[in-house]
Amino acid sequence: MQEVYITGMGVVSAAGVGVAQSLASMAAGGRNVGPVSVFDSPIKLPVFEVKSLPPRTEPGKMRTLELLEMAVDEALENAGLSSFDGLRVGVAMGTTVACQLNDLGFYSTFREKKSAPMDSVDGFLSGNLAEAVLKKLGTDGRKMVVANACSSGTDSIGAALSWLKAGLCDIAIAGGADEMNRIPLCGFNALGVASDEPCKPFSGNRKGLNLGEGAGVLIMETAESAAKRGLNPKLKVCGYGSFADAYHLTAPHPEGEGLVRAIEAALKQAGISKDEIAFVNAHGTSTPDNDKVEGRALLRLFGGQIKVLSTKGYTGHTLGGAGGIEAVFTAAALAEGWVPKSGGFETVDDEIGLTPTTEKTAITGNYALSTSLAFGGNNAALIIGRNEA
Amino acid sequence: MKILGTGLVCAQGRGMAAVSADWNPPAFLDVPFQTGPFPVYAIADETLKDPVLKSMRRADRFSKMVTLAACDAVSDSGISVEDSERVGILFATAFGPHVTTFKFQDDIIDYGDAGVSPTIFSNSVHNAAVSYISRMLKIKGPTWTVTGFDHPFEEAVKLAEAWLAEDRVDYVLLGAGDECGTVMEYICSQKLPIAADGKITADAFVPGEGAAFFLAGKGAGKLPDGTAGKWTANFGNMLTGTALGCAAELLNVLREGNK
Repeated sequence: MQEVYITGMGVVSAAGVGVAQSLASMAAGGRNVGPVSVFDSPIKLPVFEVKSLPPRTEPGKMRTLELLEMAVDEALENAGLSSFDGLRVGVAMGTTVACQLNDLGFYSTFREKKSAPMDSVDGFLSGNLAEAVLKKLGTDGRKMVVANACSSGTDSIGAALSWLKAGLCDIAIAGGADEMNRIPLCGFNALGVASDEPCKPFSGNRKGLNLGEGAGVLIMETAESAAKRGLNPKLKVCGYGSFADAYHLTAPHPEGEGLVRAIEAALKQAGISKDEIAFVNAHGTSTPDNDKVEGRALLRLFGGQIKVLSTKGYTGHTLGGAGGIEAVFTAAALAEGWVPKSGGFETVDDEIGLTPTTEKTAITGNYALSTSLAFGGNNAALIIGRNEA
Repeated sequence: MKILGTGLVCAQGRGMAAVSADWNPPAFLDVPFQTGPFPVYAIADETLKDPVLKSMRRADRFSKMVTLAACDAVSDSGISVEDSERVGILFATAFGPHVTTFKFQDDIIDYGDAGVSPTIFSNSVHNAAVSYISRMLKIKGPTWTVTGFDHPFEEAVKLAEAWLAEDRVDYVLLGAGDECGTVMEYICSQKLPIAADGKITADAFVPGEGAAFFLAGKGAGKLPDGTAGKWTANFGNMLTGTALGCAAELLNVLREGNK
């Protein structure tokens, strides 16, 4: 089986535009959280928005795709990729908002007038994230949008890993993206899992999640392709696991059964023991249920000494984008040798017993784990390693 | 990849009965966006009444349709998948449960942002149907929904083959499906020449709905080519129609063999 390297990364979220700005922002503990500004809503919950999108040039173009293109551009530049001649390419992207026609303006017009302009429909039909990225690159190849709710971004990286190991492509662009949108804001508010104050993952006084938006993308490449391009990559994708709870439509299994299996499968594929994991970038949404189930599962598996953080304290919950964004942060932290403090953490939750990182912390190991738990019961785990490991 | 069981739910009915029936005209619906009737190969409510779905009281029609096809594929295989972490689900859809998505938007318009139903929201997400299948059949491997407008089922097939080859699973419940609804019918009316008489040709379309599932395992074999559109006249035009075409081919071979 082929080794799969990470040869480029790109990210945009409320934590920053680009990997460097995001790391600097998290190192400084910055939390760009505030009220919704991209649409009107009477729901006044704090959210994490991207404030620096370039002006929209194409009517109907989805904000999710605009965010994704920013991350893809950075990742391609980082990977030194300007041409795909002779390369078999795959694009796997996770999303939630972008796979639905979530344009309330279109629908309310249709409802009232029995017809509506097709701009947003055209934007939707040309906005499938994988198909749109391939089109932007002027190439064809494998294409898949994963719609597994909050594990979609991690799962899309898992799909790309399978493609590359199976020899179905040489290079894959994988990750996830989602925009701030009124539909999920209303939905998560109705579910009672959104907090009216900035989120506090794993904290005893946490009240729920804050929605966020953004995109995170890895350029993944076979060893053969990287060698042909004369690269000496620092990082690799070592293992991935995906298992379902088969338990409930919206709640995680109380013992985190699927999550534990996903982590064990990722460790097995990576060929490493749990003791070799330097840190865990946890899903850590800040909801009472998620953090309790995930935190306890991580403690059971890794013991109390494991370094754990949630970067959602800096980005909010970016839904289908989360796995991609957190994979980038995990990879970048491993490369840099430090993790930030877990954003928003204040007090230990005695029901969990886990203390995430409370300050910028040096890490010395060779492997890191990123986890995702999804609405619907899917769980995903991704292991990224240093290439010299 | 060996196909061990097949399930099909479409406008013509369910399973082998759906491919044995002679061609039936589509339903002609009264729709708000035009004065004349609009042809749709819609699944009859009766088709979705099955005891296997009794635990899905709160599920929408899309999830019921998809779950029924998945359960039929497992039943057809005679293989027990329950409580197995070695079984995965890979379901492809172009548009997902859009009727429920718009129903949720109705809630926002009618009751305001803070007055919406959490149940409708939960059922409006693309992976709700797969979550129902996972819970009903206690399938604990990877449970995925993938989406696209350009051959999403064919992409799912490739990934299912990769999962089996890398021993991620022993079986994949592989499928695809889409539904019809008023807004999508309006979009079709704006984007496609619709066959007013309900007879599909190369230049005249009729939207359809349905779902097909296959229980796939390791071993030699492959899905028949579903791209020829031979069966499209039975279940209507769908972006995931090739999956239904594959299922119809397989079921028809069985039907012919049983004669």
